[in-house]
Amino acid sequence: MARDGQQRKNEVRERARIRREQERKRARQRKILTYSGVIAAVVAVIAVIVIVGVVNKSSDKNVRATASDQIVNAIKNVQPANLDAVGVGSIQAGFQPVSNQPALVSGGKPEVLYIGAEFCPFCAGERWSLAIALSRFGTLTGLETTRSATDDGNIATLTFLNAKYTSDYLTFTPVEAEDRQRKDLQKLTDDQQKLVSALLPKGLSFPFIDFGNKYMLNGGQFDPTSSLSGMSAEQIATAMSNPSTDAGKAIMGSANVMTAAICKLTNNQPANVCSSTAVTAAQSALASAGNTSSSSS
Amino acid sequence: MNLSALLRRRVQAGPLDVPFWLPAVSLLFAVFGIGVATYLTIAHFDESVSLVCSDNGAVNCGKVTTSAQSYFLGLPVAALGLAYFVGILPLLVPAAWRSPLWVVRTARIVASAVGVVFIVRLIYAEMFWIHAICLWCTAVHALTFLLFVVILLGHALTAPYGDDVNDEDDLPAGRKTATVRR
Repeated sequence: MARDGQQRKNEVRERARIRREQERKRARQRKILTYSGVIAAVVAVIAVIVIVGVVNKSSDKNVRATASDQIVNAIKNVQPANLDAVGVGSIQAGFQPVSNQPALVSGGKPEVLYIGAEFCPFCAGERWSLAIALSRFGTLTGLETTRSATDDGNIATLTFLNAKYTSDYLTFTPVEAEDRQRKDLQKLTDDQQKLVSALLPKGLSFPFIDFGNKYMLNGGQFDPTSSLSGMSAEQIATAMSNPSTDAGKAIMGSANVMTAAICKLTNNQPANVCSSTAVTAAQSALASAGNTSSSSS
Repeated sequence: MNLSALLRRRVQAGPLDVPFWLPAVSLLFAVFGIGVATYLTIAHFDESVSLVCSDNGAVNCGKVTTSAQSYFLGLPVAALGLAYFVGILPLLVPAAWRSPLWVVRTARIVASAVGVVFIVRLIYAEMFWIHAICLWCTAVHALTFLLFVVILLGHALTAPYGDDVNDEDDLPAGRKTATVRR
């Protein structure tokens, strides 16, 4: 009888043990399900990040596009008569002379160094002018269009990110330091960094343009938000060569002063460019900048 | 049941049943992670060592590994990755997997979770700040994630008997300690 009682007890305990084992198995399965959910959530987060990142990059790429033939031709073919009609146009003071610095030279030719950023609205304005000025001394290729940052004017402009320049007179070195979303794009070389530190101990403003270490422009010469806002790149390309438009006065005026600065590097060559009415007037403006601005060294 | 009694019971429950593949696979991921992270760390500190990788376009290892985001709190991310894999390695050996100590299990799962959170941040940085991908970094990210998966599933498969043991009768008849399954 005692043995029967003991046997029954063992059976009860064994059944209880099996029941608990089954509960543990169910608990284990629930754990696997929960952890699988966590893993799936992590995968989903990573997938969202990658997909949105790729879409964003595509959106950014869509903003940067090869400059159309209309734009390229408009830059190359600004009429000298229109440039003369504008003179220094509506530009504000901006150029400063550079002293106590060796000539900035690259490949045996005077160098024009541009440091800007795609997000920057003042760069957006000055790139049009710089492209016109450079086109009077050589050939710019690889031009693309973009826009300044959405929260910074969204101004249609060019970008020099992949631009190439050939000229008998000078070398053009562009650096687009940041993209439209203010992310790092191109880095300055050590020499460029040293030059900027020497010329601008307090730091540079975008755009910074060094004309052979004879003149520099630290910032814009005009406010593009008032003259270029709301226009497409094609519209700016059309308006900029019209001396009666705000865009024309600003862009051509700035281009004339830049041309005058470049003429100082090229010993006033080519003569048909450097002896024009507009450039002569702009050289007076450069001389005034030399009298009123302090040395940058 | 108070904490000390619970700890005693967990230890008395003995080593856990662990699938034979679990320590092997987790160790493999960690060792590969150490290898790749070591390569990245050497390339970070020694300029003469360049990563075997594209350096232009969307896949641009140089751009990623020299970006501002290649540092975290002043420390190189490559070195942090190496420290992560070296640090988690002891928690992946067979003895650690068999250990019923909650400290070991918790440390392993927390470390892998921290690793995954960090790689999510790094992937975000690549996509939105750097706009480039580093293939070797992606390899480390993948190994970190796979280790996380293995650790989570391993935890689910190796819950200690001590979790809900009421008495020794909960152990299979004749077994007072668990053994590694073959």
